Amino acid sequence: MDRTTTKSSAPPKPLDFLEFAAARGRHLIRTAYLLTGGDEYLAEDLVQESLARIYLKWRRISRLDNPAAYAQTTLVNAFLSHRRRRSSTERVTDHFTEVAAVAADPALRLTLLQALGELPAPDRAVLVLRYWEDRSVEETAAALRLSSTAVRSRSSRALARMRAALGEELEELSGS
Amino acid sequence: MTFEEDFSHALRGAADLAPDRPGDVLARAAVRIGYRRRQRRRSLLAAGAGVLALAGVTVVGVATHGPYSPAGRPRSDRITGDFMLRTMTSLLPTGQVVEGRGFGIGEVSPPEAGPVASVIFDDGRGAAMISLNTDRVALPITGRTGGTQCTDSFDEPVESCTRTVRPDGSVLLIEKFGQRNEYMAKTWTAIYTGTDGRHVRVDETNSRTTGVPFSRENPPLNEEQLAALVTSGLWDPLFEEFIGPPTPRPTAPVTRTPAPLPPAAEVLERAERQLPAGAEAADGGAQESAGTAHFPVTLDGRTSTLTVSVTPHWRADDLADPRAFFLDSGGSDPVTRTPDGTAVIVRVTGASKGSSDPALHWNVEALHPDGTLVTVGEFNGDRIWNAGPGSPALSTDQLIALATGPVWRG
Repeated sequence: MDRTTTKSSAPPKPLDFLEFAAARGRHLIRTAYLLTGGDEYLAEDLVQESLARIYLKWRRISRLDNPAAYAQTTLVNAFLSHRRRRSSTERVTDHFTEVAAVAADPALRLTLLQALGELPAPDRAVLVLRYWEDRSVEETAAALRLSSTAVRSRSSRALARMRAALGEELEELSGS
Repeated sequence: MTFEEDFSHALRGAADLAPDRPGDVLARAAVRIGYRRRQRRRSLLAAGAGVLALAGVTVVGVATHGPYSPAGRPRSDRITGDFMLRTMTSLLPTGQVVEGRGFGIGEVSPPEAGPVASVIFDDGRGAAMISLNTDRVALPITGRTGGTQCTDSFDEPVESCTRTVRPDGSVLLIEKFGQRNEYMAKTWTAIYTGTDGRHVRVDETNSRTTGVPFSRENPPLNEEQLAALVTSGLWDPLFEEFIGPPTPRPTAPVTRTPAPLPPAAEVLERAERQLPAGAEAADGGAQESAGTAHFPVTLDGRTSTLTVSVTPHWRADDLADPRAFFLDSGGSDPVTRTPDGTAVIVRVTGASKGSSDPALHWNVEALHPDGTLVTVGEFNGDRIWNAGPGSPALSTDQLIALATGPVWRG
């Protein structure tokens, strides 16, 4: 058969989106879960939205030094955008969405999630990036488009609120 | 341990409570959402945007056509984006159109496509997307006329399908599709094909888009409301002006009738006989559509699903030269020929026709010298919408051998 093909001459693709998304999806869900204070449905929505945004720019993002960090930042920005959109229609309430109970030490972990959920969204993002993502103050500042001073100040204030909310339970929760 | 270290450890413990969603499910859903978003963006960019206030209806944030006019088809003074949106809105039940776009004759891309309209409609139980497309089909209406037969449940998650042939021979199809996965919306579709060749299609979802977040349990329009929308005589002015693509789909009646499709069982039996040595076919379940068979095949430890479609005298009923049309349809995929004159196109695509990254579907189309079109598709997964990446069981050359075998000729 006088068959020709152009497939073999295509340049190699640097990184496959599906493989990347499949590999990072679980971590992104966990990050989103913390950002949302334990709202698993919203967490999944945010991750889906973030991955869809990344897919649209994948050709460029796949060539970055650290696409994973880009994905985390996209997720945090999606979370903050979501909070900003909702803030104009939200009312203060003392009723909180129930979080599904789990078998092992549910109370302590849920206490932490609820305490996180009561923080202002930017403060929550700072804590998640600093203490879950292990990002430096400077990296966190760049991701959130804040000054380093603002990150330190928000981090300090948020940690103080977490300390007040969790008290001695935190040592037990952390397993130390 | 400092408080910061305690807190960091505690975060990890809390993160363990996060839902354990498989990464590949998230990935595939993101590709679908991203692809649809890209297509919508291109469509809107092509058509432009403006602002219109509609009298008599509650419309917020409505946009219709802009100054763009694709080459090749003049605009209509009557069938404009205003007309499309106003007419569609007038046919909706009580509720609010919170967003809307309409594009008339000469305002859509490609220029031969029919006018369209799309709205976000809220009946008080959640805003949802409803889109309407128009087209013309070749006459007479036959079993092969697109949009007149229930979709094969192998191709889409069909929950129900109602097909009604009206006394005048027009066909109304109402299909309800379930979710392809938990991130995709339900879609209910109505397609009306009139004896004058008109084709009006409406798709509605239970979301403002085609995926998450869902705004309601089901799409807003019931079957009667869908039928009223697509069969309305208010679309008559549109089809008085919109004559459809000049070629290769003439609107004039043709005298030739399409050849019958071979029974699915016959296609299945022939396909299994054509498999390469060592390949084993398994039970493919119900075969719903004439001319088409699908079944799992295993070779060298790898299992994929094969689909085989056979169409004798392909497009002979509506094209003057089907072979020339086929040779021209390769696009960026080269057309090759076997020594006996069978023309072959190999297409490798991703999650959709417009996506090539990563490869999920391997398709070979072969137009035999007698005019029989054989299409062989292969993917990893048990349903087309679940296709996953990875090397398939049969190589492309083996698919070509299967599609080009003389066994398919009449």
